[in-house]
Amino acid sequence: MQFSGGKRKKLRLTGDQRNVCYPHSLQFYLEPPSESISLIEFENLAIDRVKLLKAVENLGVSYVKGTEPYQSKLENEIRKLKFSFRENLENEYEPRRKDHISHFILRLAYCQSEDLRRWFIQQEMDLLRFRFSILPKDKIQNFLKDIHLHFEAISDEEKSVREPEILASSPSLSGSKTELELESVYKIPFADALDLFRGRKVYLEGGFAYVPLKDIVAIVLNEFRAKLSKALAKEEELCISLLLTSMCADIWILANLLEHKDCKSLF
Amino acid sequence: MYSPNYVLGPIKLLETVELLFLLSSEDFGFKHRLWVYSGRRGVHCWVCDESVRKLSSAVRSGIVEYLSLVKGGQDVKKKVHLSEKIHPFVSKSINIIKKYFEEYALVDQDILENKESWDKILALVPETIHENLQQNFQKHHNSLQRWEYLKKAISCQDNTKNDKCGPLLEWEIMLQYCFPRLDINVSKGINHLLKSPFSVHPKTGRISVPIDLQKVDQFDPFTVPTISSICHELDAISINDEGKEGNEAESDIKHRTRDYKKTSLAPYIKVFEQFLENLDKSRKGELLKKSDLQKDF
Repeated sequence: MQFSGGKRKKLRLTGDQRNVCYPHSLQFYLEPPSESISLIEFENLAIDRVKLLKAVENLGVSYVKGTEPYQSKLENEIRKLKFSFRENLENEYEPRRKDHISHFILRLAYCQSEDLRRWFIQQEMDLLRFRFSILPKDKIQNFLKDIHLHFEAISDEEKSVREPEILASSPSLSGSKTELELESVYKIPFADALDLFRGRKVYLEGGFAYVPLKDIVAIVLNEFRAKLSKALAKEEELCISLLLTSMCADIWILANLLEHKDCKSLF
Repeated sequence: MYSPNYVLGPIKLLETVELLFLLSSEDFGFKHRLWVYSGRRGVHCWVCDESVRKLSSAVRSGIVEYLSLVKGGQDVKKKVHLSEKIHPFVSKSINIIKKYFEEYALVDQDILENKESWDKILALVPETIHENLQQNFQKHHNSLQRWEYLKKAISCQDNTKNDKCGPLLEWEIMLQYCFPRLDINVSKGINHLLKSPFSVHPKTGRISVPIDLQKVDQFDPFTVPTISSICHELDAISINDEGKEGNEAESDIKHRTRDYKKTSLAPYIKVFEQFLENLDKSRKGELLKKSDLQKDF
């Protein structure tokens, strides 16, 4: 990521290209941004995202996550700070870009210690959970594909053949046939649904778990947490090596200055 | 539950193999499994599917957890707890156990034989019917009759709402006595030491032989060769061969490596070789598929 000191350089894309950059209102932040931005924007984006994550934290404490007041208040906060949250809105490019870049800036700041990482991951997960919960059903499959989770929704026929088994296995379903008819069910390799199958909370057949949408969320969040954790650990290493490099640079400069005074004994 | 000299009985083996075979195929999609008698009380199931061999320790742990229904050590009286919503895994298991329960638990193990044994069962049912059962068990003559009586006694009409009753309670008891127990440490650890097929059991001297699934109902642990019986057989073979000509040039070791196939290990070795052949065929098939996809000719 490069930043120029003076003039603001902005990528100018045509409408179609802008949509391709950010096809969804939410993402896993798998690719770092590659454009140039000014230091001022860098700072502003960071501050806005910290405000957002703090709001996520506070709302999570004051309200039960997922309930009505929580959902609408969180939506308000996101909207106020002009971040992306909902699909099918006009002019989504800017909020999504803001979301993308600000996330990566904060990664650098919050990778430095265990506590910071934990806090950052928790708020980012809550944010993702909210955005996923308001994602329209027809967009889910595409989103899953984009984050490399090749989970296929099964057809209605396949669902009805296994109806009694799925209803008997999934605690998240109340047990009514109509509920299952309306709910999508995804077929995923059993090893990808560890938390579900180890407690026998999902139907297994031929090495695949038949997971209702409600439970897919947990799997998606786990994936997100795992990936973010790994990325932050790598970034911490990078930061440490940068720190060492700058320390070395200081020492070498000092060494040069002192050379004339013959203080090699310091080293 | 098991006496110190307990040996894996044919019924228990049959039930265990049938149950685990079904569950590992139907639920997990496992294909290549070798069943090896442990030499005393148990059976080992070697799952050799390539994808399974690569599974992480966490997933292996998860598989054992999924397959565990009987939980708790000696201090825990009631080891099986079922909820109202019965997972297909549980209903499949119960269907198989029902086939074996009478023969294994009521006849073979005689779990309601006398006061000492039926007190253990009473610990699993609500206290309100203990007196009733104690009195009436005396009047019956065998475990079968007592079990029938017990089933009637625990039916829903007689119990208050808080106690579990009826089929659920009946199944919990059956599962506690019949459902196999898996060794979690062996299954989940990737670096855990494993007892190789054809090794010798230190307490019984029996060889851990692969079990032929086609003939599993005829398996009798008492006919499994022991290390000393094999040694005797080998000695007998070499005495016979001494008389033959043309063998002097061969070394002693070479002799013995051909001879094991002449001992009573032969049929078991065949089972093992057949298993390896199938595994190899499958692997070749996979490689062909891959190279076809990549258009390597």
